[in-house]
Amino acid sequence: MIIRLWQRVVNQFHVKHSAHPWIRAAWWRQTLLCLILILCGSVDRVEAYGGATYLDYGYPTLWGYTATWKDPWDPDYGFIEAYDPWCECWRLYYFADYVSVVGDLRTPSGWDYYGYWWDFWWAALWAWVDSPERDWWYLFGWHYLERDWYVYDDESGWWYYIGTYYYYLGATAYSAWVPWPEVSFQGVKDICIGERMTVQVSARNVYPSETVRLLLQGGAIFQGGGTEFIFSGSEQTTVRTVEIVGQTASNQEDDVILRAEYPYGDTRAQFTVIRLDSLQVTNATPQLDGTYYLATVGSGYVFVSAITQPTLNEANLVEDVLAWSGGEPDGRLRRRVSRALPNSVTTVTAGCGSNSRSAIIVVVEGCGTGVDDERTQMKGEYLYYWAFHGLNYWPVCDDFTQSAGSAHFSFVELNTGDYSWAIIRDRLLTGLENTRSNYGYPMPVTSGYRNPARNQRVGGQPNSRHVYGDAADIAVRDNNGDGDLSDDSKRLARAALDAGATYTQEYPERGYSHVHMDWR
Amino acid sequence: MNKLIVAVIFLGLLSTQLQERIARVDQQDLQRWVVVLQKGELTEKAVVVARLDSAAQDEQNVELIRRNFLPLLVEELRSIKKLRSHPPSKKWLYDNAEWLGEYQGSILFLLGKIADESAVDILVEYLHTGRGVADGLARIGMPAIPAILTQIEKDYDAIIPACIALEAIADNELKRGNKGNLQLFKDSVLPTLERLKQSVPPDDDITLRRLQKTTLSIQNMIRQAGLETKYR
Repeated sequence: MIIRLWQRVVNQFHVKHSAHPWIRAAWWRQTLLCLILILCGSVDRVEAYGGATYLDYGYPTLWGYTATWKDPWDPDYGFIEAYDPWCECWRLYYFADYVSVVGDLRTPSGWDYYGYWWDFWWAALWAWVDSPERDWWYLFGWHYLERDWYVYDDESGWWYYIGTYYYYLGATAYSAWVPWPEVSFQGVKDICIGERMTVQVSARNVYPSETVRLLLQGGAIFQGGGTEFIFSGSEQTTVRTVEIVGQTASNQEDDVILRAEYPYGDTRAQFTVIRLDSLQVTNATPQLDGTYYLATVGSGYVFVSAITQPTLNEANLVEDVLAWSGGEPDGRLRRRVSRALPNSVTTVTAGCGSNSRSAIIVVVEGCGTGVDDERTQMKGEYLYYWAFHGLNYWPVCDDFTQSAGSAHFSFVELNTGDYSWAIIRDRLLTGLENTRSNYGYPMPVTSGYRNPARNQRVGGQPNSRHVYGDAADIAVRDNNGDGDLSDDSKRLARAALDAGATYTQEYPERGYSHVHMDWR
Repeated sequence: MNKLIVAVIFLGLLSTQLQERIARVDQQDLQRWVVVLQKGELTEKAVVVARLDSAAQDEQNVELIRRNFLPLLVEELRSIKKLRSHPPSKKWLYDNAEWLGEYQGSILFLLGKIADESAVDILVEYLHTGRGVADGLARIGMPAIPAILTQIEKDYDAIIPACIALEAIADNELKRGNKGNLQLFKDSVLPTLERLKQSVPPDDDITLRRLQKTTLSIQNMIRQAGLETKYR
């Protein structure tokens, strides 16, 4: 407003120094003359408009304008003859009509930019900024119709400017919000030395030509200390993929800060480069009541990363195990998992980058005294082989015995497994006794019951009947002393067949060493 | 009422859909197993055979397994036989003989459950292995008898399981009151068994005893059926 008034004063001052002597009179005299001329009604047809002011943050800059205009069919100038009361004569006057605009652009930091422009029928002020401050911007416009007056001096034959009259048309305003830039990270996690991490850097509202610098502090991970990218062309919002390699200057564990520096912002994320000297994950043994332990040995951190393959039941261990991340720097980790359902097999991978180990967690319903009961372990073993080796059988606690035997075949003889318990079916005992009765000779058992692990060690088929507890391998002896085992093998097989064996198998390939017989 | 009808129709459709879906899943399993049996490793095949054995415990699956797997299982038996006669090496066979034997046993046991008349020839070929095959032949019944009789003439070791099968078949025929079939036993089975008895080596008391027992047993059954027998 002050400026506007000042402009008016300057304008009047300019008038005072005009060549015409009586125009050099007091400024109020010219004003009065202008008023009189206007009141003569010669130019009342002129229509002018003010109001078009626009300001927006649009790609790629902040831009706007304020404008005013008048009807193009109105006359821009004209002549009138009017009576001059001071000289008491008639004079010829000339007028010219303009529209003008005064603009005021106010920035978020408080700066004001002023501008003024005029023309016969249309005037506009433009503003644009390539990298504007973030916040509200305002553009104000004041719109005028200007009329300049001139008078004709008969003596000199010149036109003299006598003054300008302003019609104030009105003021308009507009505002625009310039959003603040934002940078965020996705995928930042703790990584191991040597491991690679892919981080997504999302940047929004960053102007072309502005720079986002990525820095890593704490570990010499980005050799040279950082990277940067400049937004250009069409970019204003972008997602960049940055790969970070887990390496530190001293090859020691380190906390690292990932920083993004950009106009008006600094976003940070922290992660740890983990060092692991050694790690051993012992195969978790089958446990009762959904409890299991994962033991680690060595210095360094334990980083449990994955859970897979629930089998009979959903193990639902994910949250519990993931909570182990960053475990203990030294010694053993022991965690009780309460939500593991019985009869489930789960693979737990623990470790750090390439230095990881897997453990199989088997959770079964316990037998007898529970965790300490060998049968619980054995059930877990069956479940494990069911899940991973195609075993088609899964015993219950009552299937195990520590005493089953017959007159000629003791429990100790028939239990060729790794445990003090075994599965020995009654039909096997009956079949063996009947076979022996047919055979007429002692029958040394070379292999009776085998637990699945034992069966695998000796090269047995996963679903070997030895695992089911209804098979036995009987050694062939040269009972008739003829130096040939084949006839003895055949006799033994016939004895078993006559005793109702479901399947018998002789082994000429192994020198008739034994006969397999089962009663399934 | 209309709502009830709509609900019933909807549930009906749903159950049909569900059944189809279950059937489709099973079909997928079956297709996968077929591929394994055709192209898989021996260890994979053994697992599939175990799965099939488990599935065959459900009577509803037997026909499905028979239709899809019988030729494959027969082929598998042949390939085991070939492998045993022409192994990669003697050492390999020595190490894997037991594994192969058990694998063969599991196939035969499965075949015993699912085989029909078309598989009689392969079953009798393995009759000497035990009651698993004998039970399968017994289940097939009278159509298996000619093949059994032929086999025991060729394979001495098959006599005992054959006796078990023949006894079981005769018993079934007696229970059904099928005198005509028991007449066949009288006319052809008993003479064969009698002839075999004469040819049993003196030191094989086990086979002889079984033949005597079976002969007596079948004679008893024939008598119970009201048919005279000259073999006493």
